[in-house]
Amino acid sequence: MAAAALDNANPTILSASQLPTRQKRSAPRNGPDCRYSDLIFAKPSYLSRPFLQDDDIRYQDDTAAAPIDEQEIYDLISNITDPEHPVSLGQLSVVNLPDIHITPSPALGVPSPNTIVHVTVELTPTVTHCSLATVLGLGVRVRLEQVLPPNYRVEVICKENSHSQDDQVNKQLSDKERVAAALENDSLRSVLDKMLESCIEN
Amino acid sequence: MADFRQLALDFVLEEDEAKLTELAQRAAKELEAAPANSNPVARWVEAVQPWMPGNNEAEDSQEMPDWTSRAKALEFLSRTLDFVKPDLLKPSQVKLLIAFFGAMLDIDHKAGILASASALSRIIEMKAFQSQSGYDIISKVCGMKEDFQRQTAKTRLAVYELLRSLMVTPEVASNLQQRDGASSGFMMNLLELCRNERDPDCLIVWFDILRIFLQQYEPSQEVLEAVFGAFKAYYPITLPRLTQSGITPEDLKSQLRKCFSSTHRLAPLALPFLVGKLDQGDGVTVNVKSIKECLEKYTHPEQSIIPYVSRIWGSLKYEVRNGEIEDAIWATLEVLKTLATRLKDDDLRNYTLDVTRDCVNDLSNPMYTTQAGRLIVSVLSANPSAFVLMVAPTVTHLKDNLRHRKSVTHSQDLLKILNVILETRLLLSQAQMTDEQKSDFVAVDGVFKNLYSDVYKGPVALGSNVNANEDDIKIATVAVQGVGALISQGTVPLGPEDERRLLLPEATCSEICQALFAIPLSAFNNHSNSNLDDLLNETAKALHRAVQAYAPGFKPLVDQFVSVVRGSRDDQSDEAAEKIQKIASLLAYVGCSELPKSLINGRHNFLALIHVLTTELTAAIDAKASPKIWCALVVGIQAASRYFNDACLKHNPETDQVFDGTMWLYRATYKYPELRSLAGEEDDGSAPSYSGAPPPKEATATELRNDVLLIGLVVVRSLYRRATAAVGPIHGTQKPALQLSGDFDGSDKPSEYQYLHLISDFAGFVLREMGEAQQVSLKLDHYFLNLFQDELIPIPASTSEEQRKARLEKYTDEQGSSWGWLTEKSVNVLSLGLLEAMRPSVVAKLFDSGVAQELLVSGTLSASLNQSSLTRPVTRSILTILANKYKIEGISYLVSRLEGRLDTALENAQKAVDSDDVARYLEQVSSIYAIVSGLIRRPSGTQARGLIQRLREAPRNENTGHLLARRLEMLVAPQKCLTKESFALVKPLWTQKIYFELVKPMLDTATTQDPQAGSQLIKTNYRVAVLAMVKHMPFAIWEDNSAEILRAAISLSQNLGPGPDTLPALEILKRVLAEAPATAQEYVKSLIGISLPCFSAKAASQLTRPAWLPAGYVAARTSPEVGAECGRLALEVVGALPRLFESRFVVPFVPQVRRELSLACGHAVRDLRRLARMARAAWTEMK
Repeated sequence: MAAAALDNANPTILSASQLPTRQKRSAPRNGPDCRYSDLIFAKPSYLSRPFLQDDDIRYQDDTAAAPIDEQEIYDLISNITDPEHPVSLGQLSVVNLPDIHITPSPALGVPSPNTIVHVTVELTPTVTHCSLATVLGLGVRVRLEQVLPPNYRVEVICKENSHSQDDQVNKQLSDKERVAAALENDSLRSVLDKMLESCIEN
Repeated sequence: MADFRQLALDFVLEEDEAKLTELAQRAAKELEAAPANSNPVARWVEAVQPWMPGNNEAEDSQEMPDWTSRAKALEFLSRTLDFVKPDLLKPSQVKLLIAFFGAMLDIDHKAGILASASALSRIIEMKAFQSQSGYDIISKVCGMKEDFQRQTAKTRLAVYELLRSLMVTPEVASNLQQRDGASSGFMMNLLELCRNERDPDCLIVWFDILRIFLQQYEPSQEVLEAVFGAFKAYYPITLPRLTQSGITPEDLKSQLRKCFSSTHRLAPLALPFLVGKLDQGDGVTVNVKSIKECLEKYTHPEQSIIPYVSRIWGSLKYEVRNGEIEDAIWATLEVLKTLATRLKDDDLRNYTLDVTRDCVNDLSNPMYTTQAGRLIVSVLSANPSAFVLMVAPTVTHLKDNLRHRKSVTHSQDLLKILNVILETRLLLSQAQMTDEQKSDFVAVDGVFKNLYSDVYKGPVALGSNVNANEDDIKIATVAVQGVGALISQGTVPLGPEDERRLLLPEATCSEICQALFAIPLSAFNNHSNSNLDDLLNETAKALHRAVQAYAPGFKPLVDQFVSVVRGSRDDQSDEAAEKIQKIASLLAYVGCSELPKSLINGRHNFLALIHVLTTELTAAIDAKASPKIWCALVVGIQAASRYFNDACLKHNPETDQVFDGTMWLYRATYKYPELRSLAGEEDDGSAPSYSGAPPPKEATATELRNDVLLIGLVVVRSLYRRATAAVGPIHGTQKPALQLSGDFDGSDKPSEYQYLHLISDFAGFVLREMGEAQQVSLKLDHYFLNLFQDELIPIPASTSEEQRKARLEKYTDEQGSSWGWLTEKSVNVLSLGLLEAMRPSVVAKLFDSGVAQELLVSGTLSASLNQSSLTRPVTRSILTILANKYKIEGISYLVSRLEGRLDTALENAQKAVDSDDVARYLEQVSSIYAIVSGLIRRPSGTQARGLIQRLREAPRNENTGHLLARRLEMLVAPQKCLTKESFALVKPLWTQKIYFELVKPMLDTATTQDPQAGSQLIKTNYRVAVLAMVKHMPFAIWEDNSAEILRAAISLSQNLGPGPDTLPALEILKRVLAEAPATAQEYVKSLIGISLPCFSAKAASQLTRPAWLPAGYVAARTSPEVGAECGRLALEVVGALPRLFESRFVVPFVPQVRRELSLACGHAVRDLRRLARMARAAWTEMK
């Protein structure tokens, strides 16, 4: 796409370190004075399975029950590539962590598979006249529908006053039939596929 | 007489390369062998006559001549020449041949060139070749004119090679110069001939010819310009994309670059041309590389370089200032540096003045500070003279700008420049210098003397300021690095009697050490701040440099540490202990990680630290301080010893010098009086060895290393003795025993246990570092038995085999072993530390008295008695080591005793109904597993067949078989005490051996269809055993049985559902899918069937366990960790299926799996959701 045709040729781009991430337990310092720390503090093999039967396996964060929260939704959609720029929606601040809402709140624990959970994502297009706002919304919606379980209901809207025609855009995005029809359109589909290509997990 | 005509004919008709060579060799041989009077050379040349122009009947009949045959015929001649000795031909014959081939160049532009060029190349190497002919050949070549360009590249290459050979032949060269003089007419003709060359292979030779000409001939200015014009037209050269040759663009560029740099006479042409190209903005890296090569190679710099200095600087500075490509910037900086190395005196002064003047203004502009710094440093680092000229004004400007900094980044950039200048000074001060350079160098030392107080003091202090913000920390991090470089600066000795000293005064050095140490002291209080990591790492490095340069700086740091430790004695918190441990480790790195030039100074640091740590540890125990603080101090002792040991090892000491076994303690305390209090001797008030003046004799690395080990052993001895106390004679015997001392009052059991583990680990480290002879000379087997309490525990004497047998026969389980306290009670962690690091030859001595045999038998029983969950695994490790380091299968009475014990235990386990009984016998069998796990790794260990065969029967028990089967994993699971580092005897193929001896027979039982082999339940037990063991074996070992193992894994998972037994099954399924997916192709349905319940609650609820499975077989509730791990593996298995198998195998399951995976995307565990999403994507792509 030629530069002249861009709605916003020079958007503000955040660096990866400025994006919100799940706070991980910081790794211990690894300085020259810590060279032997791992060796000295290594757990002896006789105090691990299978040699110690009543081994109290450390409660690890990654096996603990944790509900899908706003940060997880953010991580799922923030790396969608913008259709105009080779950067992600997170870097362009099109999706923002505070604009993701989940009901019932994840703070209440992991919902049962029979509970209907509503996820609302408010997008902020980089400029108020962004002609691709619907495509962005569609991308976010398609991505979330691909990766969330069936009891999650997704709603994608433009943040209030972030777009000159936000009611029109919202209407289009919430109309299931129009969304389905849009996905039948080959050229639109290929734009979406391109946007979602960067959403690779490992 | 040889028939050359026939040979020529054969050659022309032959196609095969080997035969062609053979024919040419025959012709060469004939030429050499034929009598001179038969004129063989003439006959040989005439042999090709039939193919020559004018001699062919075909010519008359107006037909096209046969070019191919003619070329082949001429090739016959040239190939023959390849095999002719250089002295065979007479001058007249050579002349004749030159005339013949020269004529070919003249008249036969179609078939004759390649063969003639090759033949001539060979002829000019002949002894009888006359240099005058060289000119003739060149003239003939030039005579080709436009036809030359029409030749194939291969032919042209042969001609270029011929020309090059001629030009490098000294006689030809001088003849050419005599003939043509400076006008070099032949070269002008060649330039005309070759002007349109484009083939890369030819160009490489052609550029070489030009380079040789420019370097070795002395052409007139006119010719020089013409030659320059010829090669500059190619600059900057590239390669056509579709070229077939092996030449790379870089080869061509480098060859062309050699032309530019071939002679200084080219400078007025080349340098303006190259700089001009640079100004045009294309190919910066290529241009600067060429300029650099010219600057390096040109002689007579006053004519060739100096006139262009300003022009080069003027152009190149912008490449750095405004450049964006990092490679180009670095290449440019290299040129500027090279330029400085070529200049002297006033020229250098003018150049450095230009550089300084142009750059210092940029220092105040944050946008260009880094670039200005790079430019300054590149020139200033060229040599000491440039450094002397530039350093003072640069540092002054840096200081000024630091005072008026524009931003945090600006400060950082300025400090970084200063740091690099300091590092540069460090390097240059060690360079070779003339006396004059030295005195100039010393003259600018004043610039650095006040640098600490003027520049660094404030920023470094920011690092220890508790209120420092993120920006302050960044500045402090850079400043700390500079201080490290500053304190390392030494003076340059002006004369032979002048010593190399530190540049900074001692007071400043100790101030720096204190200021640096204040940073970790303050930061370790604030342990949650990870922003400080970089600062702390840099401070550690800087302190290390500081102490290396200024040895007296270390002691005050240790003193400060002591006051921290003393201040924390009443503090029970984790933070206090953590701070002590971190400071101790830091001091260990700072003082002990590298041996200074004076090795003795290194030992002083080590001794001072070890002494203080050990004394403080004893004092802390006396003062009943928290065991956490004990742990922190032991970690410090271990870190210091490990750092210092590694530092000694870098100097390649001898590693197995025997110690004085009986007097080692006395010798150590005599040499180091400060160790006396540790050794429990009277302290006679002698000053510590490290506090006095260094002794006159320097220590060698070997001596130092041996001292480290002995000092370590003194410390181990002291800590072991402190940790144990006599328990009094054991009931029924007169034998004394040891227990944990009263210091271990159980107030903080985990920390006490950790402390014991840490000192045991330290003992292991010290012993492991000793060579075999050292271990033997110290009689470590005695210390294993008495835990260094020599006066409390007498060492049993060696006895004969008969006596040992009788002793074991006398042993009864009721009485137990009189040595049981050593391996079965709470001190066993201390004995394990020693045993683990003992060499097999030392362990063997334990069997001489019969103690080890008794321990092996009593250890298998003790597990079932009142052992805690902490002492039991330690006892088992001891059993494992004893069985591994000594050939116990050779002691028949011991093995039969163990077999008997195993039989009884298995039998009892089968009968037991009470859960306590089951647990007791289970522990007994597990202890025998521990013995077998040591045994099977050793060569010949599998000779203890009786034990191994009995183990095969362990799962054959409906009552407890599954419990015994699970624990068989202990046999093959990795253990630290069974590694080569712990001197374990490990046979390379032990896993294969145990697979065939134990696992394979069990697998047969597990998978057989024979109902006689056992019930479904028994077979399930066998599957559990097989999978638990196979999990630890490489796939290659069980590859042949992978299908059976796969079936066993599937069947086990189907019957038991998600749980601890299914975990190894899933791991194995994953490995089979990765290594041999074809095996699993027909089981896709089963794989999906067993995977779904692992992550889907709905699928799990539909599972029904078979009726024959007893209720307690699988725990009612799976722990969340095991559940999550099963789910993770199952999702990986399911996610891999669409990728591994053709769609026809997978498609039938798409709807079901997709449904379950979409539900799994809402799984409670976050990591499982991630895997579910990946698997879902893989299954969504299935159409």
